[in-house]
Amino acid sequence: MESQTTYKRFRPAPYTPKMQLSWWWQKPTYFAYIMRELTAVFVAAYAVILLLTLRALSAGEAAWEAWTTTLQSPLSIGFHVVALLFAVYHSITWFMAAPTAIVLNVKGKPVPAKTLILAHVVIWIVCSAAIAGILLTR
Amino acid sequence: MQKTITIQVKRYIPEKQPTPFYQDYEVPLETKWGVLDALTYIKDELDGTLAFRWSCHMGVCGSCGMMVNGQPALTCATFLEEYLPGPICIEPLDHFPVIRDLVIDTDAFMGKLKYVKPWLIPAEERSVDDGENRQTPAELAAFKQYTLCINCLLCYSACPVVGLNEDFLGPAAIALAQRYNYDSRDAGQTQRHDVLLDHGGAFDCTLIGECSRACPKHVDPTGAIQRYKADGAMEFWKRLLLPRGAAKR
Repeated sequence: MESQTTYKRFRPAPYTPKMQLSWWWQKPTYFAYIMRELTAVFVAAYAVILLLTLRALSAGEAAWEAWTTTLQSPLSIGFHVVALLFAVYHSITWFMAAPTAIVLNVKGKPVPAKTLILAHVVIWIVCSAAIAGILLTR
Repeated sequence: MQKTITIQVKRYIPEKQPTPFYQDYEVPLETKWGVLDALTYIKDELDGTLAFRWSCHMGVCGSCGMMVNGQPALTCATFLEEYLPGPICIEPLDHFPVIRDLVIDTDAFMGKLKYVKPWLIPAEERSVDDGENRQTPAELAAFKQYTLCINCLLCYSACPVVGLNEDFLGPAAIALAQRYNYDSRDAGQTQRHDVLLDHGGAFDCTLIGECSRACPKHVDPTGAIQRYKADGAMEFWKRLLLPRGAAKR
C-alpha cells in the first residue's frame, strides 16, 4: 500500500496595512473631497444664523437692531465671506457631480455631461438672480 | 544618457520578518519596458524570491495591479519612461491584506462580489430550446460600459472608504451589480436591492470619485454607484410607503 503524504496549507499571517490619519492630505483629489465635506459645516452654521435672525425679528425692534449690529461686526463679515466661498464651492462641486447620477436620453442619444452641468449652472444663476432681485428691490 | 533605473519594491516575507521592508533593484532602462517588465527582470535575473501576480501582459486580465509611486496602476500598462529619472516605488495595492511581497489577498473582495449576485436572474427559467435571449443595441448600450470591468481592484485601492470601512462592498462590486440591474434580460433588481440598500451598500459611498479616475477600463464606478443611489432611494421609499406586495416586484 502506498504511503499517504499529508499536506499542510502554508499560509502565514497576512500583513494588513493601516490607513494613516493624514490620508486626505496625500492627494489633491482627497483634499478637495474633504474640503467639499467641510462646506457642510459652514452651510449648517449659516442656517443657524438665519434662525437667530428670525428669532431677533420676532423679538421686537430692539432685539433686531442689536442683532443687525452684531452681524455688521468685522468678525461676522469675515465669517460671511468665508461661508460664502465654501457655499459657492459646495454648489459648484454639486453641479459637477450631477452628470454622474443623471443619465438622460433625448431622442435616443445620451445628453453630454457638459450640457447637464451647464443646465444646472444656468438654473442656479437664474434662481440666485431672482432671489437677489427680490431682496435688493424692496 | 541614463542606462538604468532604480526600482524600490515594498517586500513582505512573513516567514523571515513580521513587518514589510523596502528593497532597491537597479534594472536596465529599456525603452518600451513597462513596470511589469522591470519586475520580471528582477525575478529572472536579480532576485528569484520576489513574488507578484501577472498574466496577460496587455491590460485585460487585471492581475498586475500595484501601487506605482503611490498611485494604483496596472503595471503592464505603466511605462518606465514615465518616471524618469526614477526611482520608481512599487507597493502592493492599498487597502488589502498582503500575503507576500506584492501579492494581495483578494478573498474578501471575491466574497463581496458574490454577495451582489453578478449574474443574470431571469424572470422565468429559460431552456436552450427557447432560443436566443435577444437584445437591441440600445438595450446593450444601457449596461455595456459596466461589463468592461476586469476586477483589477485599482478602484478599491483608490477609494478611501474601502480603507476606512471594511464592510463597504466597494466600487467594482456595485458597478457589476448595476451591470446586471440595467440588463433587459435580468429581473434580479429586488434581490440586489436587499444587498445594496443594506449596511455596507451603495449609500456608504461618499462620492470621492477616485475609483473612476483609477479605472483603466473607464467603467466609471462612481457613476454606477450614484445612479444606484437614485434608484435605491426610490426603492427605499416604495418599501416604506407601499403595501408589501406592491413594493416587491
